[in-house]
Amino acid sequence: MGIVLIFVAWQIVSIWINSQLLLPSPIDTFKRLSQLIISGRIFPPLLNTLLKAMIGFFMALAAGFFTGFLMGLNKVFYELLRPLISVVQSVPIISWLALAMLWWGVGDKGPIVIVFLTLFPIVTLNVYEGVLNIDKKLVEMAKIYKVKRSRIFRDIYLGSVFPFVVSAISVSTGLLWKSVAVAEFMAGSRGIGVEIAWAKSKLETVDVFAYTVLLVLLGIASEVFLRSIERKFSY
Amino acid sequence: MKNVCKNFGTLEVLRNISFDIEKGETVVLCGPSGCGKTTLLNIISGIETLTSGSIEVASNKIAYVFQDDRLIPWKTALQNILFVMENPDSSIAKRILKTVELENFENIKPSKMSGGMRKRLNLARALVVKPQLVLMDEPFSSVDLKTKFSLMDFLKSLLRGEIESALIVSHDPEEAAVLGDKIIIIGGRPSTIKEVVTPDVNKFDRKFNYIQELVLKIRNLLQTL
Repeated sequence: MGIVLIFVAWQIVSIWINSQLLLPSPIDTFKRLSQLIISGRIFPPLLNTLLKAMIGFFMALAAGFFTGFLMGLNKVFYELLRPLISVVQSVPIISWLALAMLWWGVGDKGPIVIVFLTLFPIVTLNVYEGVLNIDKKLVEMAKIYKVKRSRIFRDIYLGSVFPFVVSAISVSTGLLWKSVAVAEFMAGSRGIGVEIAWAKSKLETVDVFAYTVLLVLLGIASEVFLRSIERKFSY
Repeated sequence: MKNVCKNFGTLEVLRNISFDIEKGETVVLCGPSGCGKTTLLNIISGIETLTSGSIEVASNKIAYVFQDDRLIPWKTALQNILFVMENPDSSIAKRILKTVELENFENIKPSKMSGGMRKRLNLARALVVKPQLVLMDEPFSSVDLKTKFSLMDFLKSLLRGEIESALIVSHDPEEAAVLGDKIIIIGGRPSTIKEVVTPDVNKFDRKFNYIQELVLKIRNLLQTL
């Protein structure tokens, strides 16, 4: 119902403004989006954006799990790494982008690094919280039953941390697509963000809207997917 | 167990606790709440260290039926059983679930089970490791009276075969009178052994009247503490 309301309001305002350049209507936007899909033009940048987002995401997941576990299990590591996480969180994306451009120029590395830096603190802090919330009584039970350490780690430690991470990622999934698009827009050589930059320079507002709608759809789809995983593992 | 003493800092909890558990025997440790019964189980299982004295366990195959279940909440009944198995084997785990009458609940998580079902799953987890000694901490706490009696009957049947020796901690004279081959009453500050009751009728042959007689005897002993 809310979505219908947004489209109706968008349609009314676009009719009122009556300028394709300033605000294309939702009908025109979806027409353009379907044209891009049917012609297949949308797929190379879409796949490239997806690939970069996934690489950055999995890198953040791996590094975040490692760092979060270190921080949760050892107070010294927590004291050492907590300020670093705060710094990574506080530095504005544009500063990282500027550095990425200086270090690697325009290309795929910048957007991947930006996705990584956006998600890494979120994953780390949630893994850390998860480790602190591990039920020590379950670990005690496992030790009495002489369960192997590797299995205790996999089934109790990872099992306890997993819901924390999935819920954190599902909340910040919008951030993932936003950060990759911004990074591509400013420091990328291909991808949806670059397409938006091209459309902007050619004053093709309808293309900007079409690609934006695509990013919104990606955000919603990934959130729905992650919520379903979250539900599956809830207890 | 010989002259076991346990202090928490300056607080002396247990003093000179000595007893044996023979093969095939069920010993019930009975005493008021907070007298150190669970601490004693924790010492035997290795969670706690003793301050002085000695414990000799003939086998390291010990299982622990916890008062608070300690089932892994994100795992199903079957996965909870598999978790403690040295070589996880679904067919064995399923057989154990059948023994505790949970064969239709293997894919259910503990949060979806009743208190009685969780107790049985807790028992199944202990049975699957084929222990020579099972430690049980208030195994019938936090279940209703009907479930308690059915679980007690069920445990009695397990004590005939699957469970070799058991040490049950309880504050309930009824549990002690139904299940114990030897009932050790502990209490006081610090806790010491006050009395050892050895029923003269086998636990499987006790009639209602004899159980009532035992209950009264244990209750009277507990009231003197």
